[in-house]
Amino acid sequence: MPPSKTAKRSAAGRSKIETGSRSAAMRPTRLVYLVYLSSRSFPVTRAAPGFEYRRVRTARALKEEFLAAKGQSIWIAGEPGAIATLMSEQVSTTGDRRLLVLDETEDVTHHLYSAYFRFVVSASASLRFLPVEHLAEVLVSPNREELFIGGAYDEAGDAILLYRGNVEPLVVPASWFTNANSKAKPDLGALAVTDYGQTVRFGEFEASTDSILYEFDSAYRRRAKKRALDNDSSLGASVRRLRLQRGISREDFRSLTAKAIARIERNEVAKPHASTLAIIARTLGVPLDALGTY
Amino acid sequence: MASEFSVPAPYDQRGWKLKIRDKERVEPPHVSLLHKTRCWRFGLRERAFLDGDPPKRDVPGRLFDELVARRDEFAEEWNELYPENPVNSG
Repeated sequence: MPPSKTAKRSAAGRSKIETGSRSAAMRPTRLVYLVYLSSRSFPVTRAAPGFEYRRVRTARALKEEFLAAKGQSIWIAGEPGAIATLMSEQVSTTGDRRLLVLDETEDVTHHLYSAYFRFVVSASASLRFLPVEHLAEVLVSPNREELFIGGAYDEAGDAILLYRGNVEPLVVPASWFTNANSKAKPDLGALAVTDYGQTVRFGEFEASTDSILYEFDSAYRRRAKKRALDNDSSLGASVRRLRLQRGISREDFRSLTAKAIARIERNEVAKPHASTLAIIARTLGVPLDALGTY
Repeated sequence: MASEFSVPAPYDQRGWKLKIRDKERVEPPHVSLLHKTRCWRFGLRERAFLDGDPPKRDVPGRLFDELVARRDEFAEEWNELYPENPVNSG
């Protein structure tokens, strides 16, 4: 592949590395694209605040970049052989490097990469990524950790494995993807991430990424709660949100009346008794100390 | 089956989508306006965006008017998918 017009050669001799935009306002996450031994292009076309974009073309540049990576870096290999150089050299394996391999990778190779990178996700027959244009958009998005880039269904564990835009995995029980009122039933084998990572589709059945993260990621819940304009941070609002999300009625709380639950949800009880909160938490299936985070 | 609603031209061609999916965060009732990596939740009780981020100003005025005008259509779909938390119960 011919070098682009933006290719720069640094005084330090870092040959054939293309550099994109950089924001001085925050420590950037480095987006490193490896095209070494790859004929594929990757459509990062716009400046993204907080990112450095580098295109690495040679084995020497690859090693230099790997050693120089500080903080979190996301590496993208167009094909497994792109990072084979690292395997033949002694390089430091410390640091927060995350690897995305776009082409299918042998299991052994995948495990080998895990020795060098904190998180590794590689395509396989069962793991599907977003279309590459959408993938590129998600990876440089400021909310990439709240978007999915791909996923797979594990039949043996009856679980869905999803990967976020920061290459971190999230496991969700397959049984969670249901809605008795929907005409569509999830076809788990037809899993696809769509809408730039905002929807997980199982055939005709769709789940919002927001709902998945809200249920299974406490940090996401805290962020969502904090930034909601109309957020009511009271305990009562949390109980109501959680109860509705679980599909539980006010009559379902053993030894508590529906009226008592309604009063708590409306924050009419200034300080609910500890034993009352314990029953509520147990019925809703959450730890007592997490009750107020929903 | 997820409900995807029509989006007026030219915004449909520009990638804007309107959806209520089979699995949503149930409370509060809302319809999602999607554009690439961003999502605006339009509250069906509040008749306004639920979140401060992304900013409302990034939504074309005509699309916001569409959300307000078609609120009852969205509410009907919501109530079918989530009868345990109907729009009018808040």
